[in-house]
Amino acid sequence: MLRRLSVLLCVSMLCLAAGAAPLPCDSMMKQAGIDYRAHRYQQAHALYSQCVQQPAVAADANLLALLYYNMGNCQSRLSNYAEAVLCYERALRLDPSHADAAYNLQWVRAKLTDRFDAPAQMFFISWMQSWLKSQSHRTWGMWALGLFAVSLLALGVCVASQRYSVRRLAFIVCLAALLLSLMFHIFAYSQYRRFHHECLAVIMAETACYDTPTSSATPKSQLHEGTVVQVLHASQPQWYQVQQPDGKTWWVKCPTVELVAKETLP
Amino acid sequence: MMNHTSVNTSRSLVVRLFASVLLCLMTTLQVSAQQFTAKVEDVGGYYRLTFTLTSSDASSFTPPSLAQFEVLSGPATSTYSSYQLVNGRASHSESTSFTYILSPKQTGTLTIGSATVRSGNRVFKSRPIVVKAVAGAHSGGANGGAGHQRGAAAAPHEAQQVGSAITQRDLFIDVTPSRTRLYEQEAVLLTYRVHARVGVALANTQLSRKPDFKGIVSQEIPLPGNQIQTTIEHRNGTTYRTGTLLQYVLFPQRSGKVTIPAISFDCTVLQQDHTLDLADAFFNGGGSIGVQVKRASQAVTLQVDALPQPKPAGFSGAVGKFSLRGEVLGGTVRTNDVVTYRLTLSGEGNLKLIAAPTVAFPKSFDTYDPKTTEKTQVSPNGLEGDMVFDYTFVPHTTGQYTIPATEFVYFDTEKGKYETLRTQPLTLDVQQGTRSNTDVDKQMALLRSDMHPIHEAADSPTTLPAFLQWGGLTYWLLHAVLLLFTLGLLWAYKRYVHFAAGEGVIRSRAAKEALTALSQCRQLQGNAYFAQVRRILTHYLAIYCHLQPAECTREGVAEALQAMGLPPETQQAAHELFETCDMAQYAPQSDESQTHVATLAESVVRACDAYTSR
Repeated sequence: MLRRLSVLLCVSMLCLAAGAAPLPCDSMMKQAGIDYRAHRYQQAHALYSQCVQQPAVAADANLLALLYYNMGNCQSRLSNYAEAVLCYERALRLDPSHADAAYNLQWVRAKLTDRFDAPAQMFFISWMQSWLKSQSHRTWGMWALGLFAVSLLALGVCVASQRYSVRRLAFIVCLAALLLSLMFHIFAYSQYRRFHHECLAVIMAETACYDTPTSSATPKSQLHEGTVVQVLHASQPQWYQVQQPDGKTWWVKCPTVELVAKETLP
Repeated sequence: MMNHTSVNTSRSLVVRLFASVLLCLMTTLQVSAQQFTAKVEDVGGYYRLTFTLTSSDASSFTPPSLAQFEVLSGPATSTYSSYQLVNGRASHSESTSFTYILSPKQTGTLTIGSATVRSGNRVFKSRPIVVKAVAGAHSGGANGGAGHQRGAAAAPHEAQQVGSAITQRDLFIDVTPSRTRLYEQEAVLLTYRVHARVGVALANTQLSRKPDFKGIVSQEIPLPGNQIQTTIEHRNGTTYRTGTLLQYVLFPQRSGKVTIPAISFDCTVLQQDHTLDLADAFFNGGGSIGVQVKRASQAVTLQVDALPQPKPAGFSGAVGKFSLRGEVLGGTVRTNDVVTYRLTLSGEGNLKLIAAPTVAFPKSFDTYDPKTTEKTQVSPNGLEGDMVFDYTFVPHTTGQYTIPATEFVYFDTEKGKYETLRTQPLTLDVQQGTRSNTDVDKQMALLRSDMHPIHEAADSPTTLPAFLQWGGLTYWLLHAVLLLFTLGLLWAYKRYVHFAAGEGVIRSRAAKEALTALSQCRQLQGNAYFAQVRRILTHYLAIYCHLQPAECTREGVAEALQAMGLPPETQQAAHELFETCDMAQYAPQSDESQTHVATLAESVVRACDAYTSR
């Protein structure tokens, strides 16, 4: 009787989870899809922008990432490459595992003017970094939790088992799972910090780069549209200190720079 | 006496004063109550004449003689009445106005006479107005009303009567080329205009069939908006409303006499049916009937001159005015970098028809087909804007290289001769790069490929609920809960195992002992054997059921076995065993009975042992 009740409960919960309520702005997204396929890219972009502003959508990170990806596609088709880069970066910030957004970002980058060499790093470190950045902090958190549960299970088996070989194996598994869980916690923390504190920005139009934040100085270099920079300081009014992908830092004026996420501004 | 007269005089004075004041008031009241004014406004080349009566009760309005003007529309009657209660004070105003739109027939000083209107039982007359008409004052005026598909609706009260003929003079379409003599590949603009005489209410104009310009490259210029903007023009003493229907830019591809065929249009003219009464008219679209008329523009002949021979070698086929610029995109060039060389051709002419010029890159570069992007818009002189040619190349070795100057030969229509444009030769300093050949292949594949398509809403994986997300309080609580749960389970398990192990060990040991003892006591005979078996069994069952020595009677053991929940056959066997053993005290038993008891005792012990180690 109890068993039957618990089965019923499980099934009903699964049903609730599967048959999710219709998404907010479902009809707008469908219409935008139709517009996109009919090459009406401006209208599609406008509809997607409306969807993005709804609070119900803004709370769902994966849906928001999807919308930004679609908006990026619209802008790419309209040849607004700087806006496309901005949309793709926003999508990747929300969902780092979005493979299509990463590909399309590369595709658009191939059409831009600026090209930077990545700073030199040990291949192992860069491989680790790219693995770390490939998932969101939520995913790493789930992995950490899962491995923690596995380690607890192994602990249970270790304590409960009678045979020595089983106990030894279970102990090793428990320790390994615990260590991996710790590693995934570190990954999750790193991604969490990056999500909340890494302030990326996109150059929207050709910008002059200065050594000091004074307009009277002569510009030493220039950044072209579509380049992604990291904002280091925003303490000066109308100036940002930015770092370009190869590590050099410049001071640029605010108007031509668009932030990927305003809440990350230092 | 004097006082009496003076009193009389003063009284009559007062009365007279009062009466005059009252009269004045009344007249002013009357004047403020009823007024009939006329005013003229200049609206973009024609005049709006408005007669306004400050009363809503107006009848038999007679306009003045407007012989010096052409009445484009009117009289349009409208009444206005309002009642306001502001701060406890009530005010009421009303008016009726009669509006005409006039176009002067001649220049100079023109006079509009006075109009009369009857209101109540009074007849009002307006003041005459003098208008100064200036020549050429007819600038564009948007007279279009509601229309769809390039329509210009006229005011319905000036439409023709139903059944009246629409002659060629009433409505016609003409075509104007921007030039009649041109070179081949030079642009010519064709403008199709519709002319409707004032009084003919043109509602809609549509192409019967899209024109087919054989041997000519054509492009339609989209006109802004859906409505035709009409202007007023005079032609042969008649006033027409003119609007542009279509514009085409043509590039003739061969020389000689080129004839642009006539294009026919379907026009809808609204004609009033005054025989319908008001109610019918209301439901039938205001009493207008659309009459379909076909009109065609005339054919146009253009004289297309051939380009002068001999054509220079390397002539690109471009005709117009152009400028050329070449640049290498990106910063420093390194080996195995995919670099773009951009040629921008700006100007106006037959831009779209120009192919990418050949650029002679150094032999050690890997070159790929050029990509053309056009950023042009249509203008009366053809297409103007930029044609961007992107040439991709990959250098493989370091060193200094030169991209030689590119030549571009075109025909300048203004100068009437061939011109050559040359870009500057560019020197490239190729540095050593860190990319490999596979990187190059990957990038080339990327450049050639298309981007990935959009996703639908259903494609997005569901986001984790907030309580499972890393960093949240509930996430860490979940860890703690799991840990505590596991520890609790383990502790309970340990307790149970400890409890069970103790019991099990004791019991199994007791069972082993009992079995050994049973096999050992087979040598005994008679009562001694039965007594020994009974003793062994009692001892075992006492340990098994946790019985005190005092409780080890036959009934006590039977009760305990039942309480333990042992299967009934075991209980029955135990009962039989005890019975037999007890009987053996008083009566000698046979040998079969002894073996039977032996097997029984063994089976009971094994059954009990099996029962616990289940």
